[in-house]
Amino acid sequence: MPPTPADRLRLRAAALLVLADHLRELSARTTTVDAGSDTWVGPSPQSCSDDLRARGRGLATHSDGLAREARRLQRLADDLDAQAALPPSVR
Amino acid sequence: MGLLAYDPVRVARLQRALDELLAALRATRCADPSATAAMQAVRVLAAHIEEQWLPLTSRVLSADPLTSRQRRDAQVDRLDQSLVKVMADGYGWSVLHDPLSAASTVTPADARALGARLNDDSTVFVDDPEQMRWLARQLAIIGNDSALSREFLANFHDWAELCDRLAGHRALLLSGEPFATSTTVAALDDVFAGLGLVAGHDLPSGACPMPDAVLPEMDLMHPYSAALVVRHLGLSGDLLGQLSEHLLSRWLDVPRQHHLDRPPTDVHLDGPNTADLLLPLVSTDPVAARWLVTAAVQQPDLLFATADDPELAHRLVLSATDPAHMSAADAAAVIVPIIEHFADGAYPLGAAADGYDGSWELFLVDLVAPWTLQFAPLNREFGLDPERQARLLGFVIDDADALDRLVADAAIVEAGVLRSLGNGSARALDEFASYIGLLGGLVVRERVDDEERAAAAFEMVIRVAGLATALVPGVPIVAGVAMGAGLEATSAFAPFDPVRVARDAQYAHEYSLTVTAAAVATTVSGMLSNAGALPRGLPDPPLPDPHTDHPAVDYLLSLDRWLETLPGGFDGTAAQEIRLHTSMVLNHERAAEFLAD
Repeated sequence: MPPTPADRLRLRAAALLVLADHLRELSARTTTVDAGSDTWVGPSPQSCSDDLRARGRGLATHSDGLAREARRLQRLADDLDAQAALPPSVR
Repeated sequence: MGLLAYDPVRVARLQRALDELLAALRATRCADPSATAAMQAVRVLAAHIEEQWLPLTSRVLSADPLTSRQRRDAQVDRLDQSLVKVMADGYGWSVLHDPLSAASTVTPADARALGARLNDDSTVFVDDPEQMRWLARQLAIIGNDSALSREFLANFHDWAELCDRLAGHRALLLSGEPFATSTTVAALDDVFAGLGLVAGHDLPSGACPMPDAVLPEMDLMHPYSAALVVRHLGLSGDLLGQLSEHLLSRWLDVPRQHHLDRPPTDVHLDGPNTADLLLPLVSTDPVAARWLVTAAVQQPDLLFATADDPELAHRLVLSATDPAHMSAADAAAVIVPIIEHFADGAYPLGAAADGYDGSWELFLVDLVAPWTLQFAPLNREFGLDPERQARLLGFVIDDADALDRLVADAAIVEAGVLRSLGNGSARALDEFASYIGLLGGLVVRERVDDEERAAAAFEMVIRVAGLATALVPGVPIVAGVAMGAGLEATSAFAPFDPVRVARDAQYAHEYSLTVTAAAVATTVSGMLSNAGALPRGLPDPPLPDPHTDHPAVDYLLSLDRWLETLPGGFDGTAAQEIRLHTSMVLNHERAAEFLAD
């Protein structure tokens, strides 16, 4: 049986959640990589450390956004299923 | 110039951590439209690590630290170098001139002035390593700040002039031609990286922008010069594919005659060219790869008459047509025209020609390896008539070397078959039987004289034949494959005669189908036994005999004798079930017709 629109939304939601988890992990790895003054000091090291921290935090923000979008798609899929379950006269 | 103090062991550790992080970022994939911004952030971070921070750690680790005297000369005792002095004197850290940044700040006025200055005469500084390093540093700082980038972009206009001058130096340096210059490819690439960072702040948001909206004066500069900047713009998806197609298409039209009033470019010189810059970038982005490969269906020269290294085009096409990224119908729309392009002899023939490819025959084998099931006589997923299907595959697998390559790709062949079985595109045992007949036919047609090579090829056929168990009705795909593998059907009970396989086409066809039928019979009987329809402890179904002249006939006779021993006898429900499925493999009319051919 071909996938329904609700199935497709759930598949998308699942893919976004996987990516959100992955970005959360990448964010943690990026912000904790030891690029700071325990390793090196100077203008370039400072720029490197600042850049990695800022972009690592950016990945965390994207992770939150993806998780929100995944939840929205799941709710939409549930709504579609609920609508399909209604008798034709009340749809 | 600023100073940098560092602990070499910790910088080496940082370099390893960044390498691992870059690999994880590069492996991140998601084609969902809602993930576009997130994937862009991943790519930008990866680009920063790859183009700025890993090179920085490499430079630090490979440089000779300053001696005590050099440190004094560099004014390490100045108050603004206090931290460097404390770490060096107190903790034994090494000290270097900071390779990227002389000044940690660039003001908007600096950015404006630099943009205006670069409009004047872009040739003066190219041969001065110190000025080139300074320019790369300034551009890196400006490119990491959107406000500074806007100031620079508002004042810099002569993109084509500057980029062509720099790119001409790069092409000459890589060509092997005599060329007196103090600059290096790395120094030039640092400047292009900075220009890309800056230009990346002003990208259009529309779906199909004009090239000049992505990079000012893109169509006035050589495609090679544009590619050197484009690869640092952080582009992805359709836009990256579209721009790559545009630049490669322009590259094919660049006059091969060098006019002395313009800097030379890649088409006038040996060495890596525009396609060598763009194809690796596109290969890592499935959406861009799909765009470019689809465009190449109309104009195959985009891929097969451009790159200095033909492997780059191979990798791109193989990545784009991977069953993980493409449906069978979409893959057919790409694979069939590419095979026909080479079948028509429309590729560059001279070893000195751009895009000359001495390995296209084996590339075509790699191209069809994940899709062999779709060339089976009864399979219609590629939408071709059987004769054309057979002709195309016959062109690809046309000698023993091609067959060896297919055998080397056996794991890809098996994965492709399993994927098709899993998505239900191969629905019937008779279709699968025709496929096994096709594979067997390829093996024997090439008349491999070497027994070892013939045996390896036939073993691949036998292994794939074992996958037939996944098509038994009532058995889930995964369970079917597991049962088939559990038998070790196949290679364990199929001690075929390699000499005979190499010499006797009819025997090889018949034996491979018999193995398929035996794997199916064993799976069905196991399934009935698990369901309680057959008592446990019965003898196993018979195995094919590789030493007879007609393995299928003899196998059916011994199978019938075994079926008579089942509860209910030869006409019992279990026997009928097993006979039905084995017959679908061995007695299907069209499979038989194919075998007769």
